[in-house]
Amino acid sequence: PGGSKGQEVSVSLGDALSSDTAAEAAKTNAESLSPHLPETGNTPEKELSETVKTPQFRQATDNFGHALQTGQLGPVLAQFGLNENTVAAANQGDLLGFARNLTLAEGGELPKEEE
Amino acid sequence: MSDAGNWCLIESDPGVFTEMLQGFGVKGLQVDELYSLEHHETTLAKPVYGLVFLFKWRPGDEPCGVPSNNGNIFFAQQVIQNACATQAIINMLMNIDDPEVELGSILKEYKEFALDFDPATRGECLSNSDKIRTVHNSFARPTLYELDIKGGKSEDNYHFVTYIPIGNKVYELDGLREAPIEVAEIEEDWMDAVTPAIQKRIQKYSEGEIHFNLLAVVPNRKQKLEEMLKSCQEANVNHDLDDQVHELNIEIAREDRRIQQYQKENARRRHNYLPFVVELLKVLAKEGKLIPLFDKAINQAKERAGQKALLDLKRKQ
Repeated sequence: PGGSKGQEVSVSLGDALSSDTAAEAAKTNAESLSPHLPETGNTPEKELSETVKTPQFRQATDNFGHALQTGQLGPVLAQFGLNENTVAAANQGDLLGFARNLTLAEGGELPKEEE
Repeated sequence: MSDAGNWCLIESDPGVFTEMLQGFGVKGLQVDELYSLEHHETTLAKPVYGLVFLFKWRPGDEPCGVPSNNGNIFFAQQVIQNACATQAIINMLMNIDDPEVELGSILKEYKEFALDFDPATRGECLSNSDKIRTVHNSFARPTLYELDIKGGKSEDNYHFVTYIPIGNKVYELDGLREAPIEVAEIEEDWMDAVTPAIQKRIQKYSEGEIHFNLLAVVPNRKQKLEEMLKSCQEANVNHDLDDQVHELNIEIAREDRRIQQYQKENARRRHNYLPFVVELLKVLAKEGKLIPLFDKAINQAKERAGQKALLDLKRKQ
């Protein structure tokens, strides 16, 4: 699979997904995220704030980012019910296209210049 | 190397190795990380039964000693890839002769079976042991997707070897060699005897910015503390040992917290984060935060690539 954008440099999603922005979003959406947490004996609230700071999570997100960028993740994401456009962008290894289509699908606000 | 079933890669971490010992049913031992050889006296419990050294393997590395034909050493050669962590720890355990240490049925069975064989056949037996492989593989990182992902750092060439005192000598047990290697003679403390050999190795690897890691197999602290507590409580008829009992309870609680931390980390190691990551991306998208985060990550990557290109350019000039 030939990725188009983002192929020339290797983008790490580890930083993005363990950022404070991501931690905060995780906290406000605890209900939908909690079922997917590892079973550590922590309360969901505690595990949610801890897990995104762990090396294990970072490794998982970096692998995820790498797979997404190299167009390997499309078929897997289709299984998670992501829509056609989002999966198509993933198949292309197009990170920004993926982010844009997922934002549209989830009804999120697009940045001003994209409207 | 032959392919006797799949063996996963193992992280060189005290929590992983300690839980692996438990998985084998070993009693009386735990694994601690050793950060500095100079301070082993103060940081490690005695006796230190052996050391496991992780380093990046390079072809043509000369052994730091001479091959030994000491027949009292249990040594198994490594015949399959990725099993070297388990191989290293089992090679050590097979040579521990201490009534305080119980090997448990899995390893006792293996030892009795493999004892009369040569090192290669012992390795063969080890790789064919379903029970040992199951414990080893319980530390598998979940494959997120059934794809061949060649991302991140390759761990293929990392290798574990064991250092162990037997009689008045220190031996290195390296599954990739033909025989045990005699590394040093012990005068008093075997840790002092092995230190120069390991330091020499560390120095060599530090110069090449190669990662290495040192783990020590020591007596199980919690078990020791509990034994002490029991005898203390029995002797405490007049309450004159209340302080000691209190102290011991505090120390046991500290050990419990450490064990709990290991369990947490191991649960995270085994966890498949893919559904979590997909859900996290969805909520970030919903809140309009995904595009800015990805933008930032891409810009950072470009910046790093740019800096690297600039650096390469400068080097050429």
